[in-house]
Amino acid sequence: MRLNVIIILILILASTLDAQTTLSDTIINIGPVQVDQNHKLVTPEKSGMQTTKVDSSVLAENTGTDLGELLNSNSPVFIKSNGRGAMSTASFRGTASSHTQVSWNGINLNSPLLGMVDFSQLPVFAFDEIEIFHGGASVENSSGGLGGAILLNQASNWDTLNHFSYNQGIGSYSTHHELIKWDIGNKKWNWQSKIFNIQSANDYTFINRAIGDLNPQTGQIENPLDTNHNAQYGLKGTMQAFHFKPKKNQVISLFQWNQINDRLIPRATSYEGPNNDNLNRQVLNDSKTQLKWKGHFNYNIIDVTTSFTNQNSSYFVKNNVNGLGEIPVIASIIRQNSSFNRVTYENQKWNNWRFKIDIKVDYHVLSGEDTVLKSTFKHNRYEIKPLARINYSTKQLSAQALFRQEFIDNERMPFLPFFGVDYQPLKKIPFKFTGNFSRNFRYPTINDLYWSPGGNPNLLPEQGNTFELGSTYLNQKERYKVKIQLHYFYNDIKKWILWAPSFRGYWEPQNLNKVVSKGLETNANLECIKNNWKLQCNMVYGYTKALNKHEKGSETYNKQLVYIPVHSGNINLRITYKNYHLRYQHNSYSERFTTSSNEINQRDWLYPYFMNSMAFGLNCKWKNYKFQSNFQINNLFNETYHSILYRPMPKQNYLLTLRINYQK
Amino acid sequence: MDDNLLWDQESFNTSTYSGVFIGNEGNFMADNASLSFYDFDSSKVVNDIFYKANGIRLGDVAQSITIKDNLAYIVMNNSGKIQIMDIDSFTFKGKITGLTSPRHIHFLSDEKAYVSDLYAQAISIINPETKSVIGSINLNNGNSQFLQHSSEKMISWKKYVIVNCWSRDNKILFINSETDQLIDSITVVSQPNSMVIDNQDRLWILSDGGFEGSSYDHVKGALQCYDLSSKAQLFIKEFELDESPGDLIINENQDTLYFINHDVYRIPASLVDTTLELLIKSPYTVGSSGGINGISINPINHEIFISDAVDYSEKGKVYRYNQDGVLIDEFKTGIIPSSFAFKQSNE
Repeated sequence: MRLNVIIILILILASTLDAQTTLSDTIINIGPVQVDQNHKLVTPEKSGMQTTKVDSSVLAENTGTDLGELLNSNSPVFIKSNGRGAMSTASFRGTASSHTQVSWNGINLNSPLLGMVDFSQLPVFAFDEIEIFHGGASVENSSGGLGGAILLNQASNWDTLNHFSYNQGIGSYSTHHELIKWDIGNKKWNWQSKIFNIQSANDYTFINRAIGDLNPQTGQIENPLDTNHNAQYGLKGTMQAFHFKPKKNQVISLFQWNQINDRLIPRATSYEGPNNDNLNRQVLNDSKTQLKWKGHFNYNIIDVTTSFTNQNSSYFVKNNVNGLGEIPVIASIIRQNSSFNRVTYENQKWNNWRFKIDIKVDYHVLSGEDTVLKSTFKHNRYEIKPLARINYSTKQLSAQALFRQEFIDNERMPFLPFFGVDYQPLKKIPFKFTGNFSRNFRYPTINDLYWSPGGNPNLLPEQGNTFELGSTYLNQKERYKVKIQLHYFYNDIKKWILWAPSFRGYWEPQNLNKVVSKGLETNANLECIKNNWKLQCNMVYGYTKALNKHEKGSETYNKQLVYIPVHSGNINLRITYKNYHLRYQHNSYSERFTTSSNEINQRDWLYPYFMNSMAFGLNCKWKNYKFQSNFQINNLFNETYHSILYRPMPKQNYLLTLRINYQK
Repeated sequence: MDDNLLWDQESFNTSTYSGVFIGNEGNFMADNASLSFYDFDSSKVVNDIFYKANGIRLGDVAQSITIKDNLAYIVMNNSGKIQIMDIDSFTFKGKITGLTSPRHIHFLSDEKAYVSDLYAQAISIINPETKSVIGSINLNNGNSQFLQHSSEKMISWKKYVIVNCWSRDNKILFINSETDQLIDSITVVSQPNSMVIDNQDRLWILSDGGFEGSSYDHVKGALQCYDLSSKAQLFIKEFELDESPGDLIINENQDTLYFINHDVYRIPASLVDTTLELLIKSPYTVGSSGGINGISINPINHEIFISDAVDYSEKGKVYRYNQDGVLIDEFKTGIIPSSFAFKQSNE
């Protein structure tokens, strides 16, 4: 049945495409296969590491969404989303949300207070490059990435300057986005500017299974058609990048990223209290500034960066008390001011050897108060994070060792080594083995240690040992590309920090004995070009066992951690013909448990889901202008699904995107 | 998959059964509260009875269960409503909605009940027959929200309804149930979480004293006794500063008190003999998570039921003891079992 629907849709689409062919007068060149920068198969600085760079066409197609949505449908990272525009956290290789370290231009975005990153706060449009470091590879960027790391970067582009683009999106549930981008400059300097605004009322309807109404006539229980109330969100901001070359071998860069996120948090779906009560609102103000100097001197590269960030996050819960208006029961403000400083020195003088030293010194000042609960807090954190790297490489072998020794608040942290090897056994066959071993740790967050009530100053850092083994086949020519990867990982995490309610009546964090996460990650990427056709296909499959090994004999021993699917995968298929494109995307997750003892019953269990989306569009060109259109259908088969327990997700919905691009 | 496929309704008839309903709070904002029924004769438990019988979920945070006639009133704190269920067939009989943050329901007659509330600064007056809110008793004390009364449990004494105010409060309120007005209060040790009346017209109050780092208070918790007529304190027993006692209950004869202070203790409701008796030892060490978080006594045979939330994200456990603290049975329930209501056979 579903297959028939797909075939019919493709046929309809094909006929409309055919009709439109005559309308466009210019054919845009399909271009060669995109060269995979990530792999010359064996690269010294990535020896033994598994990394994935998000394809620029994927970035372009997801430009109006947040990073959570992009990762969910294009990577093995599982995103636990509370709904569109709502809190989305990552689970990478079966680990907790604080085990995915996210950085922007080298600045760590994980909150020192909470440890995690909310991916709904990160608009894809703002970033030029997204790269995923799986598991142990994250040690290069920071500690704490027991699952991995995600690097967001601004690219400095000196080639295709002087262009302007405007992207307008209009979609279901009063969703719209406006994205403006321009860059100007010459060989000496350039300025890239981005302005974004993403808004949605997010008021989709759903059958509310949490509410029963008794039909007065029949006495039967009916579930009302409900609306996703109090779920609107908005994200707006600017991203600026200014680059200047005082000399040929030196660049000075200034980056500025400001944004405001304002959203309501929907109530429990079973809520039937007064309409004006239990109103939750969160406003996040974020500002980041970075100044960077980079110089090349013969075989030496020196990079000096200093950054300052300021975040204000406020959260309110209000009730309408009779005669008194809206009275807050929670009114909390949290401020974070951080300074990030970094010096890297790299030497490439000797053919087979490379050396790098990377020193980061970060300082965080956190403060906050709740004006209703009359609580205040203030904490500082001081971090020194030196890293040394040594690489050795020949044509078929490449190896590296990393050594990280961090100090947090003058306390010496566990020593973290990483050893990685890439080996291509046969010169003529583009096939390599990859392997690595690393140690990692995650220091408890400020909340883990000091939150009142419950914070536990005696918590120990989580410690992990990771072992990975993999292989890659990469064959790329001008007309086709085949890349197949298979990786096994084994992650042993001791002293895992988990918050649980205590006999005192409030939640307290504690160190669990042990969690083991192990599994397979596979990725197949195919591209081919023939005549006016281009076919791109990317398939990701992950097998993840994340097992609680805390207490032998208990109900939870050897059980899968909550919300982690054992099987997950996605397929992205893109067909381009002349200036038309068609994209099909499939996403699946196996069942997930919400209880630590893995109960399989109707209420505590999340059934598997298979999400499909499709998009099509056309490009055309007129003088210096390029026009692009894209129409996307999400939840193609109008399915019911849940990302978290009971939270309804939208049924079939649409997004139309129009983009105009001017190049001087 | 589709939510419709998850429907698997069952029908029940337990009119000839004596047993206990167990309210499982579920996790905040997870909408996974549930109701269990344990039959005394067969020693069998059926979990998730509300969902099984009706195909709808109970709601978010099941705070308390009260049985009146043949109906159970389950107060759903974070759903702002009270679900009403037939206690024999477990079928849904309607709901009382429009409540801010309801905690407990207390019946005064067939047409009148009070509902306490954490945030509303008021007690709602309900007509259970029409299932509607018919009024409210203003508890606003002129302070900021921080020090507003959070009404909790309610007991009738003569024409008064006595209410304890737990969250960031230290008051016991007296409400005239004829005029529906707050008429008096007494100040007790910080955060009174439970109270009972003994057979000598004395009010026993258990307070936890707040917690370490609380912006409200952190003092020693205490068991206090007051004479209801004179409102004079007759007795006080303090606990250690790091202890957090709770869940004071009384037996059917109103002469013996039970409460939880990590373990379960028993004490005569007497001013003469005030020795604490350790009745049931918690299987958990002090400092570990999990533990005993609810207690109730079968009014017919005085058996003691205690609940254990285990790790708060797997099925909890309930233990059944005889009145001397000897274990009779144990069984698994839903997530975070905490409240009990006893049902007698219709035979």
